[in-house]
Amino acid sequence: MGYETVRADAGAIAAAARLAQPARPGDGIAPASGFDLAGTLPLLVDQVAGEAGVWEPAVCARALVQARGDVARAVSLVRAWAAMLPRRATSRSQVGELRTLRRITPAFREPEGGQYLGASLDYAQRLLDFDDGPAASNGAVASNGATRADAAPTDRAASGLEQIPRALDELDRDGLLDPGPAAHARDGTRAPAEANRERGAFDQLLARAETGALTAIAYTSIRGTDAAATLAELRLGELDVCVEHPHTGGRVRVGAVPATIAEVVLYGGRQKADGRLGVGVGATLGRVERRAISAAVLDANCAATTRDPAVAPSPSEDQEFLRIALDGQEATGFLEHLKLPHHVTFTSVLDRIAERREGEEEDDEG
Amino acid sequence: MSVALRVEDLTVRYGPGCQACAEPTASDSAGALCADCGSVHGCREVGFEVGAGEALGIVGESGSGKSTVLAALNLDQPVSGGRILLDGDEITAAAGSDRRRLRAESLGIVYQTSQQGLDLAISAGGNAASRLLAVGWRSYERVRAEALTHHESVELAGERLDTPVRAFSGGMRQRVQLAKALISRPRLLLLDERTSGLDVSVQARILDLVRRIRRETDVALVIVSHDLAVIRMLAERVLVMQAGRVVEAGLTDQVLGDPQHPYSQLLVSAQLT
Amino acid sequence: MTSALRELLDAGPRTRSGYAFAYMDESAKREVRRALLKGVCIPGHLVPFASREMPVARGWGSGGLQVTLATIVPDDVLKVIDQGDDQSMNAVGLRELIAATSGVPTTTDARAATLIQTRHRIPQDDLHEGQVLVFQIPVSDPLRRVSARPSVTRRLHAEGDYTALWLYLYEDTAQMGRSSFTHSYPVRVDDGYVMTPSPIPRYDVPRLHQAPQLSLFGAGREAAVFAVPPYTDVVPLAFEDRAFEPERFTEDCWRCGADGSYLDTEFVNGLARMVCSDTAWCARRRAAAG
Repeated sequence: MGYETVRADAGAIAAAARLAQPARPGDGIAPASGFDLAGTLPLLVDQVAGEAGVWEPAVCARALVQARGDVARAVSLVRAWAAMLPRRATSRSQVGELRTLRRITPAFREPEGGQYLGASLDYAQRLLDFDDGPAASNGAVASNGATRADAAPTDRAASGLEQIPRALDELDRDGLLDPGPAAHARDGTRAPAEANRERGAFDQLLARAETGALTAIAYTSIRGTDAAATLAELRLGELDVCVEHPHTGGRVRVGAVPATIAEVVLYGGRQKADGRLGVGVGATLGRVERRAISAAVLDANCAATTRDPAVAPSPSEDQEFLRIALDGQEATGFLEHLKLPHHVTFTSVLDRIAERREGEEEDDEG
Repeated sequence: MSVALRVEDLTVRYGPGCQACAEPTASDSAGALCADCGSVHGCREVGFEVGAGEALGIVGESGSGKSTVLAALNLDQPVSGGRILLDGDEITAAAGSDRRRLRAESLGIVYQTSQQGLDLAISAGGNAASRLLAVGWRSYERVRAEALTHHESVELAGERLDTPVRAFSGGMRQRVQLAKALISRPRLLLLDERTSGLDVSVQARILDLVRRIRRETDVALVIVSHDLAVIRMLAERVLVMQAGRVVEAGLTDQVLGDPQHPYSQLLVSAQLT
Repeated sequence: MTSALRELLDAGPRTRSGYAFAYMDESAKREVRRALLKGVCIPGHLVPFASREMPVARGWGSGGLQVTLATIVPDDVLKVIDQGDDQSMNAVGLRELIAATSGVPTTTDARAATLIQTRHRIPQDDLHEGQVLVFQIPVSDPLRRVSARPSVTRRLHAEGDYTALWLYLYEDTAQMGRSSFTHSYPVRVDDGYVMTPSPIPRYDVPRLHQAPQLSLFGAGREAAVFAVPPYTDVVPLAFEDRAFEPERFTEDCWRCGADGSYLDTEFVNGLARMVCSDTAWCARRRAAAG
């Protein structure tokens, strides 16, 4: 095999792209329209939105179709599209303002405000359903909240309750929480990496991180190392997008985005011996809950105070490592870049090896 | 004889410090831990001089502060108070490239364990050469020649110059550390002699080596040891440290032969039994 | 090509609504230009910048692309190569994107181009004053092999501490008689910072020294740029008594007969042939020979 550069004539790129196109009408296969996708595979669209850091389900669905279902590529399309849009305003919301559609508190049996299972597949059996009839009844079906879930006896289905107090507030008042370094909300995508070493920028990275990477590293952390993580609260709902009225200066709601926010507490491990719990917060656009939970675990680990500098941090505690590993676009792009021609550099490598072998042969003879 | 090293009131404190533990007249029997603020003093108001070509021993039990002093002298440990002067120049707060240059040129150290002082994946010659490379030597032949000279001066075989250090025994690794420390012809050599796990005869040969180096150069030597016999052999003067303070200092023969301070007496008598 | 690009091309030299000249909006361009200016003032120094998402994936030239798009003006003539080849897929895609969004004419002749974006090679032609050479950079830090942590390498660069690289050279020379560095050979720029010249072969490294063109280096994924102004010293790290060794080729180009150009292996009728890596240069030589 030679090292032929993949060369393009006028038709080659077009031909490759045509081959990759979804089937056209008339082939007997109905085309997937972007708008069906958001209704049929909402969590997939949410994953794209979460990783892109952009809430626009129609665009995310279109990107998924254009990318033939490749999430990484779809995220690329959405991010590239969003990157060149003008930034008109910044909206600020508090966690407490989330209009809650679902709220669970594994750490507390009966928190103030109650628990709401909401629309969730968590307790549905993972049995493949070959029945193509109306929605199967062996579990709740995730949707935009229009469908009520079958709920466990102690839970109630929620229908958009507002202003539920934060479950950890009481522990906070009692001084049992150590929140760690302060996090300042800022958009790290418009600033060079130097400015992004503080917690707020790191949390934004976590919020847009690649789902698989987040899950994998958070998993290695919770499967039995020093610090035990407990999920204090998971909230899913809508955050209002508000801007300042140009004349009155008042706060005007211009829309809402679905978001999932998780808070995790850490006990033990390298925590301070003063008996406080470390806290981590994770969030994501959309409803892919493991994104928020994993982000919260990693935020808690990295924020944990008193780390013995002589001991190397594990990946889940190592912010510098996570900054490299969690950006899905960087990771997938660079990995796939290996498919680009590298024959010039490879020639250089072979040259070194050949010279070394010659050198060894001379040594043998000499 | 010129003063190579001068240390004044060297203090290393971990923790905030307070009025109570800052009090200079705190009695000798006070421990290193301050009951009021929880600060621990690694060492407190340590002062001494070492002349060029002279050797000073530091003895004391674990926690006495001798390791802290050594680390401070090698600029490994930030200092809370006091001064370190090398050939009259203050080096206490050296940072950045100044600190790197001092550690690569003027200071040499043999750590207690070889892992601290050596890169085990690199050859013996490479370990020593790194100090020359750090200060701008750019001729391969000269660097290598210098590394070989010092390698052989610590009685290592020339054929093993390019062997990775991980293939060396403990005693040989200590020699590599010595060669590495001496290659830059430092003003001050710091020797942590407490090399555990080394054969007694191996240890003895290394100490002979150090004696020979002292005869051949005018490096100032500070040597930390548990073993009073080693101190007697190598150091003209000695400091006895307890709980971070110097409790007795003087000529080795006098201090070890006729210790005045109760703690020194304890140390000496313990070693005799 | 994709429908989006076709749309842009059909619209003519000035682009359709939604895209600024050369695709990037003004704030994005400003960010890159400021970083580049700083890079030109401090040759070889890694300047971080807020790398924008581009229509090419990270790792596929998004940095070089941002540098080109931020630098290109309507009067430019553009050349894009990958492995020395104008027709490589990656080069074609990038060239079409830049041309479609800027309306700038393109060429394969390095002598006629004013702005050349390249991956892994310097064009075989000697460049001249006024030209800009934009390199695509995968790994931006020559100290990456010393530590994966930017916090560590930043300090090493700040203190000018390249001891670890010299130690690699020493060990290589002691064990093998020569450096094991292949491409991306670390170079000292203007007697200051050590930088990576990008994954160009060692053959191309001496051609950066006192070069008349402006060299800009863009790493999109790693979000950094650096620069070498014209007529700057660029010296590969090597012991003063050990020669820097470029790749050696024992044959001439099978196509054009050139001896001394950088060669690739090509299979012609089942036989391995060494041919010029710079395809346009080679073709021109063949055409001139008749």
